[in-house]
Amino acid sequence: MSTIKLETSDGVKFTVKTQVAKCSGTIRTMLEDIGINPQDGEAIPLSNVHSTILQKILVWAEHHVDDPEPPRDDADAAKRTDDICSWDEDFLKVDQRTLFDVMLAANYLDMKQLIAVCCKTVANMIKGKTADQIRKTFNIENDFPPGDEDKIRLRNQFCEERR
Amino acid sequence: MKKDEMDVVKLNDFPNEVLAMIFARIPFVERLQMSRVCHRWNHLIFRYFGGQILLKMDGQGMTLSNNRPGWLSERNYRNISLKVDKNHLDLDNAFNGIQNKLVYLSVHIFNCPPENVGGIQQLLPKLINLKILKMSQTEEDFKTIFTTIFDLPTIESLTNTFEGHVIRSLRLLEGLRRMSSLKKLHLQAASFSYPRNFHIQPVPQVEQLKFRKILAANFRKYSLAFPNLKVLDIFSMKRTDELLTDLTRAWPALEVLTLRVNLGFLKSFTLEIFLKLKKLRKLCLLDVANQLPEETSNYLRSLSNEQVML
Repeated sequence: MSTIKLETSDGVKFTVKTQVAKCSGTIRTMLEDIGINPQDGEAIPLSNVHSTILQKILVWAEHHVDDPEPPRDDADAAKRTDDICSWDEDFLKVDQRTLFDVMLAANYLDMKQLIAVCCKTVANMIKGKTADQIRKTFNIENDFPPGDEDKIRLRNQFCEERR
Repeated sequence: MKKDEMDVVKLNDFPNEVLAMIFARIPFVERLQMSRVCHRWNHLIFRYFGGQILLKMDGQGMTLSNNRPGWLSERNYRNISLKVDKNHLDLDNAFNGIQNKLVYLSVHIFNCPPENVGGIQQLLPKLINLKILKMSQTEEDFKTIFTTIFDLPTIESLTNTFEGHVIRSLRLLEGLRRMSSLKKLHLQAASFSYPRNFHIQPVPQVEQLKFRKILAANFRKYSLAFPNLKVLDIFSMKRTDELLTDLTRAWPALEVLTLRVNLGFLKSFTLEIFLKLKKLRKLCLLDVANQLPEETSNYLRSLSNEQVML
């Protein structure tokens, strides 16, 4: 079975099945389009990913390596948040910092399915919260000038979904 | 390597596209309320989902002059529903900054003084990217405003609802052909009449026509006015096979047909008539009582799903 080497931002080298590594669009592109030859034994540098996070991501990729391609442009599936499989749910039962590290790395590595499941998880964390609670949960600063938030709330009362 | 606090990734560190993917999974009303969280969210929600957001304005509920929609520059309203009544409107000020961003405008003119109708007349030509226009007004107000509407070159979809219970003459539609981008036309009134010895000048650009309602359905005449229909949606019809034959002759290239009819009508014609529409890919028969006789539904199911959907 063919393997390739990946090197993380903190200099740790991982030997990974090529098939698993190809869950990442970024690595796939490097191998197929740019023509990096893994047989050289040279590690592909992943300068934006820390070893603790790559390790976690590889566990996910190993589990999902045989998943069928998801249907493209499935608008309904994109909006649902209740279809996270229980394995993924357990996988993402981590603190917020780790969740965001995984999500950021998944974005850098272009792993669409992993990003999607992370986005669903974050959406579920947002749902049902007030603006204040959202700011607290995610440590977001209210950067509106005084009074503007009230104006926005007022204006929102005159907004509805266009049909 | 131990990460210090500075390295902690926050939700707002993610690129716009990732935040948009998260926001997309949240229901409309909650997502709208999330615009209060911070500047960036307010901006992103309008940038990515502004197409779904409709702002309702009228002269009373919101003082247009003090609270114009362009306010908070990152809010790019693209859809506005405007009620024009006896209250004073400063439309120029209200639409300042979003005139070239509006895609959709719905105007309900109701019981208002002439200067307010005049204000709409002056506003419309300034909305240079407007594609969808919905108007609802009396026949009198329509007569004031229709030349302005017919001179709008960007409108692709026009809906016009005439208030009241009077029969509308299709003479009102002379000039429709000037709307060079018009693809969809939806007319709503108690009923329409097509005067004798009169023909609307052909409007070949219109591909979709929705009529509520037709009184005298002479399809040949309508097909002269709208020769290139692909989509037709009509309400009540007389109960004869002959009428349906007229329809298939008038627009043999129809692709989507919606007939809103009554049960008696459904019993009185033979569905094979629709086979004359060779390009038909969708057929909707909607009964007033939302019930079809069993043999009719069975027949429709027996046709290929490709061609006919019920």
